[in-house]
Amino acid sequence: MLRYFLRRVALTVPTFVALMFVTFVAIRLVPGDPVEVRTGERGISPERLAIARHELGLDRPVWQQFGDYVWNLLHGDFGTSLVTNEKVATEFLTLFPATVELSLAAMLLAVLIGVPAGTIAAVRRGSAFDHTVMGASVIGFSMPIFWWGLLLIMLVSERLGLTPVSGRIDLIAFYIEPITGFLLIDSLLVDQPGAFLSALHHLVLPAIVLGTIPLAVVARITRSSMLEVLSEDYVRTARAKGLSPLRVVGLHALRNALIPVITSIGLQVGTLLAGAVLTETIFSWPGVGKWLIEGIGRRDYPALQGGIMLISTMVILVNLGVDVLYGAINPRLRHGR
Amino acid sequence: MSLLEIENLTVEFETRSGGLFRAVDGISLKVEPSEIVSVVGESGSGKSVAMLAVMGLLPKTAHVRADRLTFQGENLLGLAPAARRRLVGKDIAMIFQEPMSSLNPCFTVGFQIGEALKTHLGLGRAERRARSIELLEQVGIPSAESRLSAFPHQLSGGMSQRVMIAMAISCSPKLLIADEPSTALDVTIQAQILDLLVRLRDETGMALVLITHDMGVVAETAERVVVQYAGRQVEQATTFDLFRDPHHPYTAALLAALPERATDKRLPAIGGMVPGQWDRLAGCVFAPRCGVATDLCHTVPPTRAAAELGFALCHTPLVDGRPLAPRHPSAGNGIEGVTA
Repeated sequence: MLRYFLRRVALTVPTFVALMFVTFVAIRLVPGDPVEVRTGERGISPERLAIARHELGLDRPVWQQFGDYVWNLLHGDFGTSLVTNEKVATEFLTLFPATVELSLAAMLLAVLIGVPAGTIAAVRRGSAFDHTVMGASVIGFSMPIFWWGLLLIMLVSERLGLTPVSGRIDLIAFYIEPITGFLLIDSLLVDQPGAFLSALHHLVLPAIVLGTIPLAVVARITRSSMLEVLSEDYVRTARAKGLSPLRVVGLHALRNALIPVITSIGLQVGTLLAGAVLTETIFSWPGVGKWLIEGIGRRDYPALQGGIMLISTMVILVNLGVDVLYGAINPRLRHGR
Repeated sequence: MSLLEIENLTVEFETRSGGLFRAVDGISLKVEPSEIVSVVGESGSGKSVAMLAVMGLLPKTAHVRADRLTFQGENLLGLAPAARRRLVGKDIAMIFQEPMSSLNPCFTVGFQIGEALKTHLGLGRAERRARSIELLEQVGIPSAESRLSAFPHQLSGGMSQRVMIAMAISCSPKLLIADEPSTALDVTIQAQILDLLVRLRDETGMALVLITHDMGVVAETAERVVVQYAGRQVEQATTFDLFRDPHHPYTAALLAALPERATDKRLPAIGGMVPGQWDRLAGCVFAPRCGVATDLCHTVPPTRAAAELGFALCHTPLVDGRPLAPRHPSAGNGIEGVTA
């Protein structure tokens, strides 16, 4: 198991090398550099431009800049934002909990609805429920996030006035000192139930929007995996024991059917973070997605490079974690067979 | 009162084309307490399906009908699902052909045995553990206590089947249905498993229905035999009578095909194939492969012969290897008189 784990870790090295290169090059291919973008329409004199570029080190050869960037990365330095002058890692880590909170809420939604829906669809294969779930999941999977988000804001927030339009919490009424960075947890830690409700209230709509695609995927995979498992011999054995259908399906079949579902959840983490960029922008959610979009607008090279590296690290770590989780759910892997 | 009574059981499956496929066609069987009955037939003869119907384990696409399907006098078809589940796994248990895939790979042996004990007998954790160890010892698993925490993939095929048997007998069933329990195992283990089943029958007094396609297994274990062919029951007799004087040509052909009985250098085989869904004839289903079939056999379904002729489903049941004259009323007196 340890050997396998170390191999997986080693395999991430080429991924990181490619990532460093791509992020560095891609952002520089976008027209306009940080200085030009900051001067805006007023323009800037060529002398001032040259001085500013020199100050930021942008006048040096690109390969030197890349070398510096890689050298710093290897020393654990993700650089300093050109806009805020803050360490990129610090900025990222302040904003990341908001993104994680949103993503977890979305994933929770996807699993809590998707797994039962897929299971029932499989058990009642061919029924109206099955067709509804599968139809809805195709729609959910194909829906552009930004459009779906705007649609929900218009309906739920504007027409019905049920949820706030943007933000993480009512900033006028509450201030929560970050402890874990998760507002839902922090508000309870400092015993402010009002703040908890406000945070929850703000979280619902973005979580639905971000959770839609994972929900569709989880429901479909659960269904197909469940269909396969339900025809297995051990399910017949469970029924032959006289167990209730709930126990046969919910325990004996589901435990086995969940293995591919967990894989897909691991793969969804990347999608989730990409989706978070759009969702956070729509809902002004103060997470890393929104921060990255702003970074692109400002051509904040270090913030983008560092931010993307950090996000990629998270995705890779989660996928490693999923591999370890397999062992917990599938005893055949635990014993190294 | 018989333990299990099946009269004229028919099972039909809905097919994709919307029609019905009759997998079991008019099977009748009585099982007395602590009796070993064997159901013999080749693949697709409906032997497993008939027993799954007794267990209520067939999918929803199956239509089960019977003039009588009772266990200890209780009508199984009339029972509500919950009431039937109280019977299944407790008083009637079943083990299957593929022991390796019949155990759930995600749960330990102890958990899977304990489950029935908890569901049917309501035993507590410590009692379940003690009883599970006792059961594993009873089915001949060494160091039973340490096996409780083993996962199925850590067991061999024979070991898995022993665990399946332990699970099946955990609530002291009155009837155990064993669906080809030894087919997937190698020969030495086969014998051990069959010995174990017979020993358990002797110890507990449960009845045993043994589904098999192996005449050797039948000869060694069963007291009574039911022979099935293409969903129909073609003969029923005591094992002794069946081997001594088979009355249905199919049974006779099966016995003749046993290597132990072969006299020639070349083993005799039954030519042709079991008819499928679409090529069933109007007459006897075995007629195309039957050595003594007449024109009558191809056109008119046979009726059942008397008990002394093994209830053979045949126009011309064999006696001492020779066919009797056809009994069909329209057939006249002799085979010669029959026209197609």
